[in-house]
Amino acid sequence: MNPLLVVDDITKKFGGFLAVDGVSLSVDAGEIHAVIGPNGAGKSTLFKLLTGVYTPTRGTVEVSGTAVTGMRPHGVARAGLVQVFQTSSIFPRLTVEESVATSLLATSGMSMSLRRRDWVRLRDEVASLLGDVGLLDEARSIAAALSHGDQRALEVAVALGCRPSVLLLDEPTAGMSPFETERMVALIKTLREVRGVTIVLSEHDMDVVFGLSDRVTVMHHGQVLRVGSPVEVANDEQVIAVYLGGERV
Amino acid sequence: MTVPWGGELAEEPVGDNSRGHSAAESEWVSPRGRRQQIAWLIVLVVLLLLGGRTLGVTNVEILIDSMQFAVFACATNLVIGYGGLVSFGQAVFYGIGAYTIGLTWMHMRLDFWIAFGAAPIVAGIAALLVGLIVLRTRGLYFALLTLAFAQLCYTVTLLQTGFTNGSTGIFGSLIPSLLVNPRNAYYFVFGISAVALLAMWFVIRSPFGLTLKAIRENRGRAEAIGINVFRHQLAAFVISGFFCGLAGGLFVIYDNATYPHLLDWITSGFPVFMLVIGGMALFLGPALGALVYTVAYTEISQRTQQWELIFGIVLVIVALFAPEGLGGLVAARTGRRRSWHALLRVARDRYDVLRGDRV
Repeated sequence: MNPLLVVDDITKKFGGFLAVDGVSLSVDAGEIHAVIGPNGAGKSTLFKLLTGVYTPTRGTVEVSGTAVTGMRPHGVARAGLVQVFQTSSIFPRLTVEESVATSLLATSGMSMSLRRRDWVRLRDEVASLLGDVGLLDEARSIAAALSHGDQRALEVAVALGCRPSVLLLDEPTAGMSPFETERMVALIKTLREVRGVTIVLSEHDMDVVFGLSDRVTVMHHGQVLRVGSPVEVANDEQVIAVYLGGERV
Repeated sequence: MTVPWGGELAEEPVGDNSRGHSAAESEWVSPRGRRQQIAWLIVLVVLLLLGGRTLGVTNVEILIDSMQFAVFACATNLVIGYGGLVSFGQAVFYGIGAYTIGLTWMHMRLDFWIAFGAAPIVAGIAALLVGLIVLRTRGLYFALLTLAFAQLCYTVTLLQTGFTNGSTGIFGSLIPSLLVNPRNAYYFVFGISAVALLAMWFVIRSPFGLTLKAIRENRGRAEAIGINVFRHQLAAFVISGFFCGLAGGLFVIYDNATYPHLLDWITSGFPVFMLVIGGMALFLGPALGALVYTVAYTEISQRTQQWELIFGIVLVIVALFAPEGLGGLVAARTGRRRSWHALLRVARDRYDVLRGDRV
């Protein structure tokens, strides 16, 4: 199988500090790939390098065979690599349906259009995406008034509006109740199964990581410590020592 | 309510104050609310049409002034209220619109109608050139750069006496004899202002307007979903500049003159004052602010030289107690936008309280 996301020797240096040091990653189409590691391991910096927020000091990123290294974030998103942020990042005063329509308009190249019917035409697709994330009943709610779990679901719907080939989820269950976490896990599975989206996620909840992922990359001090299946990673002595606190999962 | 795709949705936007955001903050209006807005708008248009014939000349002139300021304020609101870009230099484009007519008359005796048509285009081109520079900065730096451009253009206009007549400005028969009659001028300014406001309304409701609001709400997220923020903000800046230039052209019809102070920082402050008074979230909030400003200026300046002091105090009170302006006061009172009848209800309640009928 051809890898959809290829990261080669990506490095980011802030002054004398190496935040990400020569990380290489290969994610196949349809895969759920987890990136884990202790706080400060470089996961969030790696995501920012992939999405164009940071320019890498060295290395390359390819999405579906297209080099996106050095592109601005909007260019990377249009190439098919879209991120859902670690903290809620919504459009507070837009309604839920307006939020999703915004990303669909951008992806369809109609965000500069002055014809209202261009966005009215997208309503079916907006409804379909909201249905997938369980927010159809909240279509006209104000984004800021949603619960934390619903806001995260809205973020996923907005990201899906970009019709991504690879979705980056940065700690998708952070701050969620057990019920909301369960709902998010079910949503991530649905995204892969129904929409065929390839997912790269960073997560601290090991039940979520090992329950969802096909492969896991463990990072430590900005470098890749281990890549393997959840079982291989969970039983790796080095990973257990530096991240799993000496406990086997 | 059944939506086009078949789902059942709430009649109104749903929201609470638990996170500091109320339903009133949404710019979504229910179909019923929209019908009410249209009905009140028709009443307003009819009243304004009748006003041109029935009101005295002084009041007609006040309304002409209000209408050109309404276009200026709503155009400024495109970048400040909808684009989230606090510009203190929109007077540059207002002044350029006015000077396009003044200078082409002074140097070329160009036909007024051609000059009037060119005014917004020249202002739009100027906005493109200024925007290409200032939009590379954000926040305070953006505000200061727009202010710097305004002062630069003001100073050039003031100092290039041979070309612009300097501080004297340009006087004469700038406008055709048809528009010298205040009632003719009134209907012309009314027609142009109505078309301009309608055009801006369509911009706000378009996919472009929605994208602009998304950028205002969360720039980083907008970029992350593939929106080219710079291009959209530049387009908004140019559209705003175009309509500010048109307002400048309307000013010439009102005053039959142009002056350098049309480009200075005080003139840039006028629409900002109107936005604060009328409210930025409602589309016609700035137009309401323009009307309040013009009427208040006329009344207060006849009684005291210290009108700016009084306006300053009003600004402080509004900023402290009604930060979303008169429009926001209505929205906060009712929990949702219900057009002008809500404003009347608030006024009636206040009146009842003052009379002691209600506590």
